[in-house]
Amino acid sequence: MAVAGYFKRAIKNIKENGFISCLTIVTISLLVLMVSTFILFIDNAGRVMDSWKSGIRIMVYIKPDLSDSAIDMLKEKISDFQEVEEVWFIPREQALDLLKKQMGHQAPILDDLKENPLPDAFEIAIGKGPGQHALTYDQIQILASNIRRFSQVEQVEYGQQWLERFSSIFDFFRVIGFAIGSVIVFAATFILANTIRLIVYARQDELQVMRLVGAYDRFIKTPFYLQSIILGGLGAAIGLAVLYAGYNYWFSSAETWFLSVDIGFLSSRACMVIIFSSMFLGWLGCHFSLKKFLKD
Amino acid sequence: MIVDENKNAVIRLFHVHRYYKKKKALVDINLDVTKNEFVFINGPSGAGKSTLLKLLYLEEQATRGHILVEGINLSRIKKKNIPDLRRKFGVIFQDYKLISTKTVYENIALVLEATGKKRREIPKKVRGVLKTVGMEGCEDAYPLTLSGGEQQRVAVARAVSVDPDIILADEPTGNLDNKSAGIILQLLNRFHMRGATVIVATHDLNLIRKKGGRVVNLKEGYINNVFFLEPPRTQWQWLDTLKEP
Repeated sequence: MAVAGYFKRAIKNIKENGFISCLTIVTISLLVLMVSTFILFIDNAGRVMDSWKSGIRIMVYIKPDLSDSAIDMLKEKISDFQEVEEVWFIPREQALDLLKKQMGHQAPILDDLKENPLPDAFEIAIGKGPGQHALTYDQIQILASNIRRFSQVEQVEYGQQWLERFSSIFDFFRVIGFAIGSVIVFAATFILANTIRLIVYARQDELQVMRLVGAYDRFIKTPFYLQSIILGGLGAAIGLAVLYAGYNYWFSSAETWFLSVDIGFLSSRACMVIIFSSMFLGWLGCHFSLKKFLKD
Repeated sequence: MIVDENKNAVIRLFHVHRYYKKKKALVDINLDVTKNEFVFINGPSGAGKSTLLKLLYLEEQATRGHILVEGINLSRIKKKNIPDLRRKFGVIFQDYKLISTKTVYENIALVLEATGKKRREIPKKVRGVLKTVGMEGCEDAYPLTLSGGEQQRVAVARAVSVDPDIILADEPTGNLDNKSAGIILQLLNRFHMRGATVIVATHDLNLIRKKGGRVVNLKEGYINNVFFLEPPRTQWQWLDTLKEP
């Protein structure tokens, strides 16, 4: 039997079992909505995190009394790191002026100083790591310790405690996200398998007749598999459409400036992966359901 | 080793047993059915008639013994070859097994499609078999809108639509009035005349009287008696042999 014939039968089966088909699509849509909302959250949380991390500056305080050539050489060495985007030299005088500006009306306190206590320093802007992702906390830490190894460097600061805490919170969320996501995917397969089992139950007379008159397994199974794949794909597409509508509603009107990054929707690639995964789960659910019914 | 002595036999059972856990449904059944024979499997409820038919088209498997269908040993058949075996049979079920959500036409067309009939040949074939069983014009009716007799005629049409070599009918008149039962018997007889081997499982002695033929009488899973019943008018003297001792 031609593939077109199997497709026709699958579509006909969906129409004939309209209620259960709708129920399956709604169930899959809800599951996809839950999973993709989670993915959207994790994805955007990562983006916010990346944007915050790309704003991080490493301050390198250098030892006093270095010659200009030594300072230039050090700047060159620091610039050679792949992760370093830009390096600015901040002379101690400029640093003091900056401090005075920041202190505002309390600045006169600094006037009493006999000598400038601040060291010369480099301010480093961090670029992207391999794969154009913002550097991880570990990568920043390695970069800082590599810079610290230069003999001319006195101290390196990059908001270690703040970054460490933030990174660990984000990692925790990500682990929880994956755990919940895995549970949802497992539940989705289970629910899908059972919903498809309902379809198989509804048509078990037909299956039995086909089996007893000598239909080959592929004749019986293929339309079911196609039907499940179609329902899986449709359900996922509807779930994503609902998510997109919700995303448009919430994030086009709400102020998201405080996150300092645009909240983006899932990439088309991610959407395709979700749709294909749902189709695969449909196939899997069908496989488990039919296995029970088609034992000879 | 099975020695094939009866070359005309299309079905051969050698010491066939079928147990459901400890319950003996069939015990040591030996039986040959020759080509184009009309055989009745008779006996009270629970005698093993339906089980015997189910073993032939492999809805169930024998616990012990060997069954040959057109030379194929069913105890050694590969799973992938079971559909081909089943295509040799046209099975008429006691409960009709018509799909209630499909029309009469779709019920028959599904079987034709399932057994590999070309799509363009299906409409003609369906109309043909419906005409044969006197159900032309009922293509669009749903089974539940038909009487029991009509449903069984559709079931017969479905069974014979695949031009089977062997027709198995399990209590084909079990739920029908005399007139409808007569029609079904006539139909079975017609396909028998066309060359099919027919095996009918029935407890209905009247049905057997009307047709005549070889009768295999089962009792509690054993073959109690095998005899030949003459066709109508000369058969009445045999009736006593069917009565319980």
